[in-house]
Amino acid sequence: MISVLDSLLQVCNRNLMVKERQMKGRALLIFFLVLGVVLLGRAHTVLAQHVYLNINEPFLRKVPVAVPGFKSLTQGVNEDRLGKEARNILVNALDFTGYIAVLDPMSYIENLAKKGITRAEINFKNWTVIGSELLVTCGVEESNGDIQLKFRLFDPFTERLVKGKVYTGKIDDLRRMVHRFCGEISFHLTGKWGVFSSSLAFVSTVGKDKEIFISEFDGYNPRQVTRHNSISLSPAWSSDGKWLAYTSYAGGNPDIYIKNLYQIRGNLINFKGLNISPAWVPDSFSLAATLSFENDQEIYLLTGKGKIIKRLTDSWGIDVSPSFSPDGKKMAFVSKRAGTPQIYIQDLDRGTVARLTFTGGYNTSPAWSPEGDKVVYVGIANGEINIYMIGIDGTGLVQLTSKAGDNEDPSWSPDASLITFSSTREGGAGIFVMTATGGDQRRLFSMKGAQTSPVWSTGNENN
Amino acid sequence: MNPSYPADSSQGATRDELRRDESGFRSAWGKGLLLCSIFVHIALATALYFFQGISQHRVLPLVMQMDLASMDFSQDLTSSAGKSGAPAQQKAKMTPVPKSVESSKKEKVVTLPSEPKAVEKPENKVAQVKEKVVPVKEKAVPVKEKVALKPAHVPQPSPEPPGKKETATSIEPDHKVALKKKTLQADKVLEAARSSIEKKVEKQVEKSEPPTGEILDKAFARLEKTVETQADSRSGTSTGSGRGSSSDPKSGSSFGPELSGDGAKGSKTDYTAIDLYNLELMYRIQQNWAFNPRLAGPEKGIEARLLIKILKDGQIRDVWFETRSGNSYLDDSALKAVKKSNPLPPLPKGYATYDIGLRFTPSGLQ
Repeated sequence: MISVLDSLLQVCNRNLMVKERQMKGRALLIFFLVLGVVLLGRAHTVLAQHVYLNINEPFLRKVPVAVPGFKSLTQGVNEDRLGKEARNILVNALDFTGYIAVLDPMSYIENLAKKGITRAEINFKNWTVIGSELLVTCGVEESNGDIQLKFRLFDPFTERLVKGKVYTGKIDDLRRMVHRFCGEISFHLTGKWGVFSSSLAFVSTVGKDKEIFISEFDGYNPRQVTRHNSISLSPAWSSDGKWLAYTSYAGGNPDIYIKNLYQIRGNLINFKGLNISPAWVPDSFSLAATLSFENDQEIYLLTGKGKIIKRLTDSWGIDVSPSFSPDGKKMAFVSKRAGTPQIYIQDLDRGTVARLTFTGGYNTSPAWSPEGDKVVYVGIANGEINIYMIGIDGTGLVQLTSKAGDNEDPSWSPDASLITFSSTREGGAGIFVMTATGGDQRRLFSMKGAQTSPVWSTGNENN
Repeated sequence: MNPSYPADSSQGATRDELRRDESGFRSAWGKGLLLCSIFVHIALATALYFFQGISQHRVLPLVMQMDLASMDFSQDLTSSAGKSGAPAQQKAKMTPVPKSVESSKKEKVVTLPSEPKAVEKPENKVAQVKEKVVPVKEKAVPVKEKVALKPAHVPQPSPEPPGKKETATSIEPDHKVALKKKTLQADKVLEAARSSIEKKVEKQVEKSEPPTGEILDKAFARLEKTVETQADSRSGTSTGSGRGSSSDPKSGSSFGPELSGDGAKGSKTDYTAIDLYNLELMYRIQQNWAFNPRLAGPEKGIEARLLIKILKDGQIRDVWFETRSGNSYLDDSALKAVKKSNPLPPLPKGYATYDIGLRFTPSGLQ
């Protein structure tokens, strides 16, 4: 009887078993889910009391970027050559920033020039594994002197296309096209377009004379813009990059020339006495300069046409070398009112003046950071001429150069990431660049004669 | 009722009959029947449970494998035994199981009679119900297979015990244990393995003490050096962070050998080993941390806190923010530093996983 019952029950249970099996499977699943959650929760609580390691010394101070070879898209004859050239331009420009390190191509695992440059064709693991935090790819297409560059910027960790741009132009515009994309990379990293579309103005000796030159941001392709056959000094860019003001002795007296770089026209500031150290007011066709027609060297505000708006300083010592805050509301300048040349900051609205530098007995050539928080200047101490940086509240004084010749004429890049200056560390005066923290000091270019007074324009082609 | 019941049902029971039947339940033998049925149900349920456990067993090796992978016994054994033989043994141990299951499927019907009586019992019962045979068999077969396996494969599991003595016990209940128990067992095994290692370690304290100190000194010296010399990091790290290498701690990294060697010889205490590991961890992550203060902006005193979970083989299993700094550049760079540091060197002996917090504070910079 029992066996029959059993069999019956089993018949009934067959269905049950199937169900139960499913149930069991589900139960197991739930069990593991719960277990997982519990374990995870435990992990969290354990961690909450866990050891923390302090990581505060980044070994790399630069963003590692991989730039694989550029891909020739139509197998044109020139494309490989142009691709190599474009890549070199890009790599040099990225290196120039001081915050990007292009990884050695020897370490690259994938050859994207062969494989493909789009997101789908890239195995990003191959790029994260070599430590690249950004990846730049480019395709080159050339036909009859026209060139097209297809740039892509990837984040290998998120496998995301950060930016993609296509540039079309003549082969002669290769540098400009590549630099535009460098601007995009810079913008992605810093929120600023960088220095790539700036021009650099500087003074160079030509024979016995000193003339003003303009080159690309990195000193490439310098061309002479003044031919006074005299001494021309202290170039200053207007905010829109169209005007260049400088001092020249061409007329026998130091006068300020305001030159339009795109048209043959200009203005002259030639009051009696000195007319020196021009500085443009940001985003305005007006400038400040030191004039001495009232016998004392004072700083005046003038229109771009050379008409005096008002006198800005009033003290018995000389006041020279104005430099405006980015908002144009304050002005740093050098004054001897306390006996030695020191840097002062004047609030132009209120007219109040505060001394900025108290260290050292000779501080000149202030340059206000485009970010507004710092001023770099030249100081003479211990028989050395060096570049210093100080917060506009007078704190955080840092010496940026030391034991390397005379270092003068500091000037900021428009994104405030770099400082250019002149130095005699390699013999004759040359133009150098360093990061805003004094790192990566290097000479920009070598050129016949001595170069001084480098200044970057604030031009930007990207927007 | 016994004879009439099936007959009735087959004829199609009338309401009266049903009622009668219902009332019959209250009768004495009806109670007996109820009890009996309850008993049988329970018996069946347990049997079912038992079957389930068995039928699940086909999956079990897989689950077990997963556990092993994440806890990585093999390594523990390898390194503690100091021999590369263990992994091979482990493999040997693992592979036969699926194989035998395979073969059992084919042999099923044939082997049935040859099985031990005890296990046969339920099957015989089952066999009596004709239609059932097919599905139940499927379940039933593994059972006997299981039992059969034990004697048949004894030599295979046996290499296991030398490594982890505790597993020997775990093998016995094998056939009965459901998944739950298995994992429990794994825990036990782990603990046991750990304790055995600790014992070993203690024995070797004297020998290993001086090297540990040296290693520590070396590590410190290296840290200092690296901080000072801004050597090219790329070559350093890329060679340093050798791929995967979970099976072979020696190939882990330039410092991996030091660490694992230390572990194998037996460090003074766990504390020292993990301390050293922390140093190495810091060094690695710092090496991979690319942070430019300029890009972070003017904010001062920002701090990002990350928590990471490291597996035995050095793989970073989990990364998450405990607190973000609010500065996306810092957060991003910290996360990337960790990701780039994966895999880390294998954990010191005795650690199945390791959770640690990382505090990224670039405040040390100007």
